[in-house]
This record gives sequence, C-alpha cells and structure tokens, in this order.
Amino acid sequence: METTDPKHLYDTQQAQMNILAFWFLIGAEVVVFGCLFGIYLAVKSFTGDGPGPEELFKLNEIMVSTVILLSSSFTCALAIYFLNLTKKAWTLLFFLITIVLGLGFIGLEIREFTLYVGEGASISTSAFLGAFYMLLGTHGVHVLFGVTWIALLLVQLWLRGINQETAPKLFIASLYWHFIDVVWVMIFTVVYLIGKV
Amino acid sequence: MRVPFSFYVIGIILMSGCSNLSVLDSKGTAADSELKLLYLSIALMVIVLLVVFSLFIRFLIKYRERPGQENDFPTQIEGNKKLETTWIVLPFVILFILAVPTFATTYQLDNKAESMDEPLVINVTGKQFSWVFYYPEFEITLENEVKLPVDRPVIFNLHSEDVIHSFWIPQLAGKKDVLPHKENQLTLTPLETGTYDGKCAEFCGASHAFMTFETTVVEQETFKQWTNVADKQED
Amino acid sequence: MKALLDYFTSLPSDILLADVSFIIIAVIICYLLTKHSKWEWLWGWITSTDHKKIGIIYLLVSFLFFIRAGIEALLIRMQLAFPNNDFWVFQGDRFNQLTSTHGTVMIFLVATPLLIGLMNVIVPLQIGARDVAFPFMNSLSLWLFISGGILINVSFVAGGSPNAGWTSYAPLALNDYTPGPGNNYYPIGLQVAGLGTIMGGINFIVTILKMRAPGMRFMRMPLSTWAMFITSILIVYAFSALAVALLLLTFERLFGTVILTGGEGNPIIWQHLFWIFGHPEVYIIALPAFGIFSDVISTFSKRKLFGYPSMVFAIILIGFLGFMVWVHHMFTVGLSTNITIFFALTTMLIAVPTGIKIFNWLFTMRGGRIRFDTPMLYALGFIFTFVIGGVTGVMLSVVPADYQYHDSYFVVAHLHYVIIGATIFGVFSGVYYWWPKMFGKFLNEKLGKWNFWTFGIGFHFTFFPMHIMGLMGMPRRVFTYPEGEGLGFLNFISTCGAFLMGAGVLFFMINIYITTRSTQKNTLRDPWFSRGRTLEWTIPSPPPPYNFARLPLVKSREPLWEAYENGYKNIDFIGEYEDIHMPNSTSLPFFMGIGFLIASFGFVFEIWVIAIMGMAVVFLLMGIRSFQHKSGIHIPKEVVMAEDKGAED
Ligand code: HEA
Ligand code: HEA
Ligand code: CUA
Ligand SMILES: [Cu+2]
Repeated sequence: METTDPKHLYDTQQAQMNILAFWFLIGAEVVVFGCLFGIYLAVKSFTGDGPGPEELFKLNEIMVSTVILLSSSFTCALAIYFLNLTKKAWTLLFFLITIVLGLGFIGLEIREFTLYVGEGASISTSAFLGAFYMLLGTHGVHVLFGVTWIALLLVQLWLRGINQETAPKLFIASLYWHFIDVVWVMIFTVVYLIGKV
Repeated sequence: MRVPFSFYVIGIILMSGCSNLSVLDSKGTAADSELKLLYLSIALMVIVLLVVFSLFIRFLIKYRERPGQENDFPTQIEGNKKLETTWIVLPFVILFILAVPTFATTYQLDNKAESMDEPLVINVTGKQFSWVFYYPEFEITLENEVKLPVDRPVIFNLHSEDVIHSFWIPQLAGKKDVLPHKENQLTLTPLETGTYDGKCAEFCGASHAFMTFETTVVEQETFKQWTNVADKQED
Repeated sequence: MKALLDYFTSLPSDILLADVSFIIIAVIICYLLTKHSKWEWLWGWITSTDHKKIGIIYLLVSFLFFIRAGIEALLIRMQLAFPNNDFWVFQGDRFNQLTSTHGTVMIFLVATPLLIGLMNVIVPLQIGARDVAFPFMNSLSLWLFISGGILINVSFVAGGSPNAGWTSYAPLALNDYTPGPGNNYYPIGLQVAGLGTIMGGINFIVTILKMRAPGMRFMRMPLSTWAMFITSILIVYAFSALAVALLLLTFERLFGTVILTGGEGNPIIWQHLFWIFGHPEVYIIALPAFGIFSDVISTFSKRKLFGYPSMVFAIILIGFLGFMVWVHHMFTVGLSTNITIFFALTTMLIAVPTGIKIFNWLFTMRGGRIRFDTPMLYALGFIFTFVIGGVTGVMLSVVPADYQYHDSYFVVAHLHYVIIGATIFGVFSGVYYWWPKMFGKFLNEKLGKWNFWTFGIGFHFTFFPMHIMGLMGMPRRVFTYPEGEGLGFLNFISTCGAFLMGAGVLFFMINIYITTRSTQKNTLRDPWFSRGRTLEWTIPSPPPPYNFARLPLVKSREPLWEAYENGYKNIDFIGEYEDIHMPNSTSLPFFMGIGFLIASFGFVFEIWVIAIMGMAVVFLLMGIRSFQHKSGIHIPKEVVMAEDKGAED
C-alpha cells in the first residue's frame, strides 16, 4: 500500500488517540517552559559580577535565528499540506528543508553560546546566566530532538510511503515543531527583546 | 471504632495534665494571639468532629446488616438536594468564622514592627549549628543565648550565613525562617520573666537537633544592669 | 577474594546487613525460579503489555518499597523511643538519611505507584475497554518507575542516601552543604520515575476519554474511574512542574549553576516549584483513594452512592483548588501578607468539597444494610481517620497558628493521618475488594480483620501522640530530644504503635501467602454477595486477556445492579463475537528502563561516558520502536466464543 486515500489518513482509532495524547503532552510541555520562564524572570536581575542582558545579547544575530526557525515552521506546514495530498516527494523535500533549517538554528545557538562563554559569561557566572542557559538549553535540546525525530520519520516515509501509519506520526511531529517555534517566539520576546530594553 | 475513641479520652487527659505543652503555655504577645486562634480553631474543629462522628456511629449501628438480612436489598435513592445544600453552606459558615480573625491576626503579626515604640533590636545570625545574637544598641554579642527585658517590644532581625534555619521560641512566638539571601523580622513582647527554650525548626543538617538556644526574660532593671556590665566587659 | 572480604568488613554494620540480606534474598529468588523453572514465566510478566499484569507488578513492587520504607520508619521510631537515645548507627546524618528516604520512598515509590497499580487493573475493566490506549507506553511507565525506584533504593549502599528531607530544600541540598553523590540520587531517580508517571497520566486520560464502552457517558462512569481521571490530569501538570524543579536541582549540583544558592541566587524558587508540584501530589494520592471508597462504601452498604453529581463535582473542585494552595507550606518563609492570606483562604476552601464527599459517604450508608467485610472496614477506618487528619489540616491553614505548628511533630501527625488514612487504607481496601477479580480467590477474611485492627489501632497509637508532641515544641527531623521535657513517654507510645502497625502489615503478608497457597477456587464473576454494580463484575475472575469477549452496552450508571433488579443474571453485551486484536508483548520497555538506569548511575557519579552510553541505549531503542510495525496478535473469534461460553456456567 504505497498511498492511501487522503481522506482516511488520520481515521484510525489509534491515530486519533495518538494525536489526543500529544495535545496533553504539549500541555505538560507548556508547564515545563512556563516554569523555566518563571525561574528566568525571578532571577533576571541577579547578574552578580557577570554581564547583564543588555551587554550580552546581540539582537541582529538572534534575528537571524528567529527568521530561520520561523521559516522552518512554514516549510513544515507546507510539508504537511503535501502530506495531506499524499505527495510523497514534496513532503520529503519540505521536511528536509525543515530539518536543514533546524540544524542551522542549532548551529547558530551553539555559536552564540560559545561566544558568550568566551566573553566570560558561563553557566555558573550568575543566577541570571544559569537560568538563561537552562531555558535556552532546554529549548535547544527540544529542537535537536525534533530534528532527529523528523529525520527518522522521513526514513520511514521514504521506505513505506504515505499511509495510515506514517502520516499521523509526521502530523504529530509537525505539531511538535510548531510548538517549539511558539516557545521560541516567547523566548525571543521575553528574553531578548525585553532584555534589551 | 471504640478503641481509638477511648484513646482520645487518654489524649485529652494528657493534654490537661501535661505542664510541658509549651505552645499552650504562652508568655509573649505573639504567642498569645497565635494561641487564641489555635483555641478557636480547635473549638470549631471539635464541632465538626462531633457532627461527623455522631452521624457516623449512629448510621453504623442503625443500618448494619443484621443476621438474616444477607439477601435484603434496600431501596435505592439518588440524593437529596436539601441535605446536600446544608453541608455545603455550613462548612462555609464555619470557615468564615475561622477566616476573619485569621486574616486580621496575620496582618497584625506581620506588620507589628512599624507601630512599636522603642523596640529593642537584636540581629540574629543563624549558622550550622549555632545562633549569634547581636544587640546594636549596646554592641553586645551573645552566642546560643539571648536576654530580653520583660514587657519591652523586641525586633529580631533574622539572617542566615549558610542554609535555611528557622527561629522558634514556642512560648514567646511562632517561628520565622532564617534565610541566607534575605532578612526576615520577628517581633514579640515577652510578658513574663523566666527561661524559655529556643530552637531551630527548619531542617538544616546533621546537628539540626542540637541547634538550640536559651531565652532568658528578666526584669527591665536587671536587663539595664546587665547591659552596663556587659558593655564594660566588652571594652 | 581477599579484596572483596576487606571491602565487606570495612562497611558499617547497617550497610553490611543490607548488602548481605540483599544477596541472600537474590540468591533465594534465583534458586526458586530455577528450581520451578519459572524464568520463562517471569519473562512473560516482564514483557507483558496486559494492563492487569502491569498493574499487579506495580502493586507488588511498590509494596516491596513500602516494606523498605516501613522498616526505615521502625528504625526512626527506635532511635526516637527514648530521650538522648543512641540506637545502632542512626544519629546525626544517618538519621537524616533515614527520614529523607522514608519520606521520599513513601510518597514517590509507594503511595503514587500503589494507586497507579490499582488504576491499571481497574480503569479498563470499569469502562469496558480491552486495554489501555497505549499498552507499550504503559509498560514503559512501569519500567521507568522501577528504574527510578531501584536508583533511590540502592543509594544507601552506593555512596550514601539523599539526606536533605523529602522536600530537599536548597541550599542544604546543594553541593556546598551536602557534597557527594547522595543528593544526586534524589533529582535523578525521581526524574526517571516521574517521567514514567507523566506517561502513565497521559495514557489514562486518553484511555478514559476515548475507550469507554458504548453508552458509557461521563456521568455514568464509576466514581473510581472519575477520581482516577482527574488524578491523571493532575499528574500531567503537577509532575511536569516537578520535572523542572528536579532539572534545576540537577543543574545546581552537576553543572554549577547558582540559581538556588544563598549568596547569588534565591533558594525560595525551589520551594515554590517543589510545592507547586507537592500540593497537587497530595491530592494525586488522595483522590483515587476517594474513588475507591466511593465504590466500596456503596457496594457494602448495598446503597446507591448518595449525590453522585456532587461527588463528581467535588473531585473536580478539589483537583482544581489543589493547584492554588501550595504556599500553605511556606507560611513562615516571610512572603508578603497578601499572598499568605490568599493561600490561606484557598486552603480553607478545600474543606468544602472534601466535606461534600464525607457527608455523601455517610448518607450513602444511611438506610443501607452495612456489611463489615474487610474492604468496608478499611473504608470506615478511612472516614474516622481522614476527618481527624483533615481538620488538623484546616487548623494548619490558620496562618498565625501555623507559625507554631510548622515543622513540628504536629505536621508529622497531620500528614500521616491524611496519607495513611486515605492512601494506605484506600489501597488496602481496594486490594481486598478487587483481589478476587485479579486472582479469582478471596483473601482470607479472618486475617483481613486482624490486619485491619492491628494496623488501625497501631496507627492511632503511633500518630495521635505526635499532635501533642508538636504542641510541646518538638521540631520534626530531629534525631534526639532532651530528657525532662515530658517527650519520652509520648515517643515511647508512638514507637510501640509503630510495631503494632508492623504486625498489621505482617498479617497482610501472611494472608497473601496463605491465599496464594490455598487451592480454594472462586470462579465467581461477581464474588461480593453477588451484588456488584459496575462493569468489572460482569466478566470472569480473573478476566481473560481481552477482558470483554463482547463489548457491554451501558444504559445507566450502575448497569449490573440494574440488571439484577430487573431479574437478569448479567448485563447486555452487544454485537457479534469478532476477532480480537491485542498488542504484542515486548521487551523494549524493560531494556529502556535498564538504559535509563545505566545513564542515571552515570549522572549520579558524574561519569559522563556511562551517562552518554545509557542515553544512547535509550534513544536507540526508541528509534527501533519507531520503525516497528505495530501488528499485534489476533485472537480468533472461535476461541473467544468458546472461552466466553465456558465462563457463563
Ligand atoms: C493525602 C495527603 C494530604 C491531604 C489530603 C491533605 C489535606 C490537607 N492539608 Fe495537608 N499535608 C500533607 C498531605 C495531605 N494534606 C503532607 C504530606 C504535608 C507535609 C509536607 C511536608 O512538609 O513534609 C501536609 C502539610 C500541610 C500544611 C503545611 C503545614 C506546615 O508545614 O506548616 C497545611 C497548611 O495549611 C496543610 C493543610 C491541609 C488541608 C487544609 C487539607 C484539606 O484538604 C483537608 C480537608 C478535609 C477536611 C477538612 C475534613 C473533612 C471535611 C468536613 C467534615 C467538612 C467540614 C469541615 C470544616 C468546615 C473544617 N497540610
Ligand atoms: C505514604 C506515606 C507514608 C507512610 C505510609 C508512612 C508511614 C510511617 N511513617 Fe512516615 N513520613 C512520610 C510519609 C509516610 N510515612 C513523610 C512524607 C515524612 C516526612 C519526611 C521528611 O521529613 O522529609 C514522614 C516522616 C515520618 C516521621 C518523622 C521523621 C522526622 O521528622 O524525623 C516519623 C517518625 O516517627 C514517621 C513514622 C512513620 C511510621 C511509624 C510509619 C508506619 O505507618 C510504617 C508502617 C509500616 C511498617 C512498620 C512496615 C512493616 C513491615 C514489616 C514489619 C515487615 C517485615 C518483613 C520482613 C523483614 C520480610 N514518618
Ligand atoms: Cu538550623 Cu535546623
Ligand atoms: Cu499542601
């Protein structure tokens, strides 16, 4: 069964349950990031001897990461659009672009972190920096996980085609990806923009 | 159910016969107002317990399955709106009676320091595992003991050098945590002379049990003399 | 050989004893398994995805942890039996390790998983489902719980146990004050177990939302199911807050952040995060018990549950309010007065929905024919005990009075009254109640009564005096107290009571042993005087792997009772027999658990190679799982039919 009638891609009881479960997982993740934001805001002013947000952040570079991650959300949405049309090649292509953009984002983040550490702003310099790295690090790990996960699913898609088993998985992965993007928008606003002003 | 109940009777006898119930034997203003609420809440809770337990015992005796009733199945009912409303409303009333003085006293205890005249200020430093008391007024330092004049308001400024401790003199006042990153205040006025136990109430490590101090409340006159002598000794 | 001997003789006596008894028990178990050639049977259980088997393993393992933490409680009580006592090695730091692991194990590895075990057994049966929504994930939850549990349990022989209390407050729990691996076990072990718990929560939410039998509307679900549904929601949100708290503690201890330290950071952040989890947690372990009691009280009073809608409403309200009261554990921290009294108010409000439940239970009994079988005895013991614990809770919420009670034995009394009164009594009640369903045999009633009375009376002797000790100014977590304060007598009574409770637990173990050995067979579908009310009593005991040969049609809240009233022997099952699809058994969750265990040891001892290897195993297995075809097995309809017909008579 190379392809299935697109109308029934998500029809199975199991797919329905998986998607529902995933929404609750996102609920849990909202709490996780909510708490991390809480910690960050609580210790934001505890900069000790280290640099504060104004000195540290370079908005231009963050803008680049932001654009990259947001466009990956867009390509991911496109991929799902083609998935629903059961167009395997296009789905593969757009998910691949998503992955590449995700990797680019991770690369930039690693670069940013090494830069900061080079300036003497490491994880143990101050409470503010500790919370900053924890929040950003957790998000970064999520992106990394998302990239790996989507890559694995693409192999399955490639081998098995679009069917009732692969489509719901990809759909869920795309939800996850959008969620990570939303978190990034929050981080961008709360950490970088508000940190700057 | 009879056994635990008789146990209660023992408990109550113990309570009245026991002279060591330091929380119930208050000798300071803060402890006094806390004790009043404690009694109020016990009284209200005893009412609740009486109601619940009398219904409980009554139903158990009256509706127990007697021999021969094994295949007896009573009529089934869904509920009763009137009854259900009753036990929503009554707890609200009880809680209201409890909440109002609770809030008033909390405000009053937390904001005492501003309204005190001529308070005696003592800076308390907690550390693993001892207490240091410093009287800025007289530049006196004491370790693991503190002297207070009777009837004069006291402000303890609490600070920790390491982990979190908690400052507690059961007969004079409830506890206040002693934090490493922030100063807390505890205010009270001792009402009777005597010696009272003070302890650390927040778990703070291996010798938490030994982090105690002695509080001596003396006549104002005696206190004055003591500060004079101690002052001279310091120089 | 010599080196090994040297190692053993260098150990302190308590650790030596633990090591030796562990080895002896392991040898005995291996011997028995080999002798009766049961390894394969064991493997069958380990790889099973059957919710009933998973539930039973949960119950068994958490019961073992209960014994362990109970023995710790006995050691605590022995050290505290007399003033200035020096019992064995349990002074100072060793005592702190005892209390910390006692509390941690009891809350995370006993109370929570015992109830999750019962949830596993009962929920699918009560809603008329053939399994949970995600059998694989269910097994994974189990093995994560066991991994985390093992980690916390071996801490004591490998590097020292956590010793900062079950609340593990910073800065005491940070490297500066408690160096070494001991306190690493706490955040890492609980992280692993907690991950499993979150998965379990999601699993049950989806199961209950999506897999109810035809006709079972929300307002027709049994109260146990309702309570477990709300509990699952609480689990998902509360345990994620815990996950962050533990992550933070891990970062502080392993990666050198300074968020919680006294000088640069703010240690109160930990307290907030911990209690944002911690208070919902106490309802997580109370609500399922409330559910169980609702079913038990109604069954053994032969009365319909009084005020079903308000019972459901109360559960929801308790769950909701449970997230808004956490600061009542922090009244003495010195937060602003407005915050304090807001939380005092919400705390008091919880008394109202809880009261609704108590009175509804009482009025369920009114007009009934109350039987005193062991499950009901526990339910009655619960009402008696929990109301006392509940009203002391309300007393604690009176802020100024809490300034006196806080961190004294009064709080220790409160917490054991509510936890043992609700959770432990609830589990005993549930286990006696559903044992015939799980195993097809009754537990012995006579031993059950001995079990109840010794445990219950011992309980009140142990914990009632603690209220008075608190009022006498005895702080908690002290390993000794001076003579002449009148504390000796009360503590001694308390210690005696604890041993009586121990006897109670022994009666329970004897009961299980005798029942398991006995050949009495009760194949009754509906064993409790043939008047069950809910769906689990409509199928054979023990149920077949697929539970329901045909799906039940639910037309009311108490379908079985209704059927009896109308003169039928059982409820209507709808539809034809068909092939039943069941999931394969799988060993992946077991190995993932092992992967997590290895990784955790790496983290605890900060040996990164091992940590990375362990995580690699986990991710590899996850990858493999992702590629597997989830084919499952099909039970042909002829087999199902034959079995079902066989069960009828
Ligand atoms: C199963 C667990 C469980 C449950 C159900 C509860 C229930 C409650 N708890 Fe408890 N609590 C704990 C477990 C639990 N608790 C633990 C483990 C700790 C200590 C943690 C630690 O520090 O280690 C703790 C500590 C604790 C504190 C902090 C004490 C301190 O450290 O200073 C407070 C303070 O407000 C509190 C309050 C309450 C209240 C108001 C309830 C209410 O939900 C109780 C409601 C029930 C009733 C009131 C009885 C029935 C009602 C009626 C019959 C109706 C009429 C009643 C009235 C009008 C009053 N609890
Ligand atoms: C589920 C929760 C739970 C349960 C069931 C218990 C059960 C018991 N607890 Fe505990 N307890 C806590 C949760 C619980 N506790 C928590 C959260 C704390 C706070 C920790 C902290 O401060 O950080 C605490 C703290 C605590 C303290 C205070 C310690 C301190 O502050 O210093 C004490 C003191 O007496 C105590 C005693 C007991 C006793 C005697 C029992 C008894 O009920 C135990 C009964 C069980 C047994 C006695 C086991 C019997 C088994 C056998 C006899 C079998 C033997 C068989 C073989 C060897 C094969 N507990
Ligand atoms: Cu200081 Cu306990
Ligand atoms: Cu609480």
